[in-house]
Order: sequence, then C-alpha cells, then structure tokens
Amino acid sequence: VRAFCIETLQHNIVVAGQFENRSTYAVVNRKLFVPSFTTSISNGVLTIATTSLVLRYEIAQPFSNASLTIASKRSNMRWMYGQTQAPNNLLGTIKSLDLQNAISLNCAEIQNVTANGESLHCEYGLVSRDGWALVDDSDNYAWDNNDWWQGQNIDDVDLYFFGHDHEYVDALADYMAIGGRVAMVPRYALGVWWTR
Amino acid sequence: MQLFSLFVSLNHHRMLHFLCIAVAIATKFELLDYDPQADPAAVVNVGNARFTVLADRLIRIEYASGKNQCVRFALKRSNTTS
Repeated sequence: VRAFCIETLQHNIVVAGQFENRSTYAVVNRKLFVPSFTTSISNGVLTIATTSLVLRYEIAQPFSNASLTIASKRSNMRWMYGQTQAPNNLLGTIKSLDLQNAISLNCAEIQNVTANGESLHCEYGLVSRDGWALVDDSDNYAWDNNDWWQGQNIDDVDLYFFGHDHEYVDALADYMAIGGRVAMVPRYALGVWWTR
Repeated sequence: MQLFSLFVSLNHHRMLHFLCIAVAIATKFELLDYDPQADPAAVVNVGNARFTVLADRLIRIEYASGKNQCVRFALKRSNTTS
C-alpha cells in the first residue's frame, strides 16, 4: 500500500487537500454564483438549507440512508443516501441505436444489450417525476490544468444531487453551468443534413 | 502575440482573426472561463464529508477518507485495466 502511495505522488496525481478539486470528465466548472443558504449544527446533525432544499447529515457518520438525506421545501420530494436513481427518472439515452429495434432507455432493463459488441453506455436523465436525479462522478477521470487526463477522482464518493422537483429546465441549466456549454458549430456551417 | 496582432492589423479577414485567437490559446482546450474550484463561501466541510452548494437545487456531496486514498487509487486502476 505504501509503495502505491509513493508511486501515486511521484506521478503527480494530486492528493493536495483531501477532496477532489480538479475538473472531471463530467464537471468542469464549480465557481458559480453562490446561492443563499444557511448552515446549522444541532445534536450532531448538520443542516444545510437553501431556498428550496434541506440537507441533513449526521456528522462523523459514514454516508447511509439514515445519516444523509435531502428534502424539498416546496414538495414531498425526499432522497436518502443509497438511492441511486429515482424510479420515475425521465431517462437519458444510449450510445448507439445500431442494430436495435424499439428499445427501452431504462438502463436497468438493457444491461446486457450491446451494439457492435460494445456497451450501450446507458445514462439516466437529469430529471425525474419524483423530483430528483443523481449524477455519480465518483469513478470519473479528472483533468490536469492543461485539460489533459490525470488519474481518477480521488474522492470515495462524489455525487451531484439535482433536487429540482418539476423545474426541469432549471435542472438542465444547472447541469450546463457545471458541465460546460454544449459545443455548437455555427448554423451556417451545417449545410444540409439528412438521414434515411 | 505581437506577430499575431500584426497579422490581424494587416489583414482584417475574419477567419484569420479566429485563427490567430485559436493559435494563441492552443495550450488550453477549453475556450470558456471555467474554474473547477468552488467559491469557499459555497463549501461546507465537516470531517470526511464535504458539501458544495452549487445552486439553489444542486448540491455536490463528497466523502473522502483520506487514509484510503492511495489504496483506492490502486484498486480503481487495477479495475479499469482488467
């Protein structure tokens, strides 16, 4: 184990600070306008309350469905640590539709389906009828200062909780704020596109 | 940079202007001013947990037991090469 530590440091895998502060494959921007929120601690429970959400965490506990919860102030939406996706997630997409007939986009239902021998890389959507969605960045790769690959996320857990209730457009806007704007070529460069 | 400026002043063609900008920033792939480091005012750090209030309805949740980081790195790396 010690040998790995030394090797890790020598390869400049940044361990400065305990948490992951680098850009990752999914998240490039975290310096945003800071929303108003309050924090308080009582009976060993940390409460973070924004205008719309309340997060509660039992300090010094490992994350569990008892120690970490988030609830909406505006609805009955409630999330506990350990829930990875909402049952009524509005679903994302897959890498390829090649060789598929009508196919479910519910990742749980197409785990063993492949396209051209490769995984479909199914991803869930950022919104759900349940009011929340989760992006798990724990195992993503991180970038160095020159936007080049530099090892994996050093956090044990690194989640982005989207608690937007039914404000779906806001959820997409918030994702774009942290994930970066979608690269688009100018419309005049597109010419005519068609598909059979 | 002086050379690029000269090009721009000599030739006002729009594409050349873009080309000069592209060359000048070629060491960085990202064109926009992103910063992965959150404003400290948005961060709540308690022990091994860190919460970052990125937006009213968007919260980053992290857990990092520092003593396991090297081990974890090794484990992850062996996982991804299999």
